[in-house]
Amino acid sequence: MKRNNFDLTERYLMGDLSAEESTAFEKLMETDTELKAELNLGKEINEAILESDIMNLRHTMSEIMNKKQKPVFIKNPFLWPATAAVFILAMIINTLFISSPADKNDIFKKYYKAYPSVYSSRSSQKQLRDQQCLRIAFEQYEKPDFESAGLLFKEMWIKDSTNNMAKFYLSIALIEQNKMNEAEKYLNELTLNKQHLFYEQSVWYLALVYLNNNKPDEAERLLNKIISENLSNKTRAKQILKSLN
Amino acid sequence: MESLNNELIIEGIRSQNPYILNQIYTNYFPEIRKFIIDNNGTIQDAKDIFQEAIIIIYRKLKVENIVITKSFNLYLIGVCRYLWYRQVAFVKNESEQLNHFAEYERLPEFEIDEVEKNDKYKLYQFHFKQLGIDCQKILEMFLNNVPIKEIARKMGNTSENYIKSRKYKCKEQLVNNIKNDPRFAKYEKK
Repeated sequence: MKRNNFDLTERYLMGDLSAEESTAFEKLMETDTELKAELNLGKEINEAILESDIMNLRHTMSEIMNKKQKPVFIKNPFLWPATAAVFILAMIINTLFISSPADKNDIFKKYYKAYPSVYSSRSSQKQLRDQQCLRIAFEQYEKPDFESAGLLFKEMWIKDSTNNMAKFYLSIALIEQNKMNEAEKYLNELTLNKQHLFYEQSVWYLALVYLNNNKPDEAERLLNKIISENLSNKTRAKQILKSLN
Repeated sequence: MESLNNELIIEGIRSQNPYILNQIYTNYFPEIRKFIIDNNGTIQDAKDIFQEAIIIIYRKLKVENIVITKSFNLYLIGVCRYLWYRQVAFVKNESEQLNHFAEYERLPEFEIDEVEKNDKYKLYQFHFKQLGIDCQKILEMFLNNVPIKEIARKMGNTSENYIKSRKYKCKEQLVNNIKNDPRFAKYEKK
C-alpha cells in the first residue's frame, strides 16, 4: 500500500498523471489521510531540496565554527596590527628625520595593499550560477589575476547594480591594473551611500587613489572624514595627514 | 574585535557574508555557549543551536525585513534560548511549558512556525546530503525543471528512461531514509 502511495504521489507531483488520473487522485486524497500525508511529505522534501541557499549557509556556519580554533580561513580585512606597527614606526622615523613633505605617489605605494578576499573556500559544489561566478572571481583575485577577476566582478555588478561587493572588488582590481581613473569613478560612487558593507573601505581606498592621482585636497578631505567619523584605517589616515603636512 | 551594528549584521546574514558571519560567531557565541552549558547542554549542543538560530533568522529575512529595536545580541539570545528549551521540552514532552516560555520571550508566531519548518527541513536536507552525488544532482535538476534530455546529457549521455527510473529510485530511497529516521516520528504525529 505504501509503495503504491509513493508511486502515485510522485507521479502526481511530477505531473505524470493524466487529467482524469489527477482528478481521481485528488478525490481519493480527500478521504485517504495516509495518501494526503504522503503527498505533503513529498512536497516538503522537494521544497527542502530546492533550498540550496539554506544548505550553503549551514555549511558556511559549520566551517566557521569548526575552523575557529585554527587560523584563518577568512582573512580579516580590518585588522592588520603587525602592518600597522611597521607603519607607525616608519612614520615616526619619517617625522623625526625627514623634514620635507612626502611625495603623494610614494604615500600611495606605502599604504596601498589590495583588499583581502572575503570569500570562504568551500569544498562543496555551488549550484547557483551567480555563486559560481563569485567563487571564480575570488579565485582569480587570490591568484592574483586581477584582469580576469575585474571582468567577472564587472559582469556581476552590471547584472545587479546593487551588488556593492562586486563593485568594490572591481575597483581594487582596477587599481591593481593601474587603471586609476576608472577605479576613482567606482570608488567615488561607492562612497555616496553609507548603507553597505564596503563603505568604510571604499573611503580609504578612494583617499589613496586621490593621492596617486595627484588630488591632495580631495585626499585630505577624505582622510579627515575617516578620522572625524571614526572609520576603519583611522590611525593610518592620521599618519598620512601628518606626512602630507 | 570589530563591533557591528544591527544593519550590518542583518545584511551580512542576508548575503551570507562569511566575514560578518565569522564576526557574529566570535562576538556572540560565548554567551550562547555559557547559557547552554549552564542548562546541562554540551559545546556541540551550543554550536548546533547557534547555527540553527542564524538559519532561522536568515529564513525570516528571505520573507521580510527584521526590525530589531534593541541589540542584535538580545534578539539572538532570545531565539537560541527558545531553540534550546524547545529541544529539551521535546525530550521531556513539555510542550505546554514551551508555549509559556515563547510567550515570555515574546517570540512572534512567525518565528515559532519557522522553527518547526526549519527542524523538519533540516532532517530532510540531512538525508538528501547522505545520498550519492549523482542522486543529489538528478533530483536537483528535476526540481529545477531542467529538461530530461539535458539531465541525461549532463549525467554522461545516458538514456532518458534511465534518468527517469534513477530519479524515481533516488527519491524513493530518500523518502524511506527519512521515514526510518527516529526523529521523523515526532513530525508524523502532528
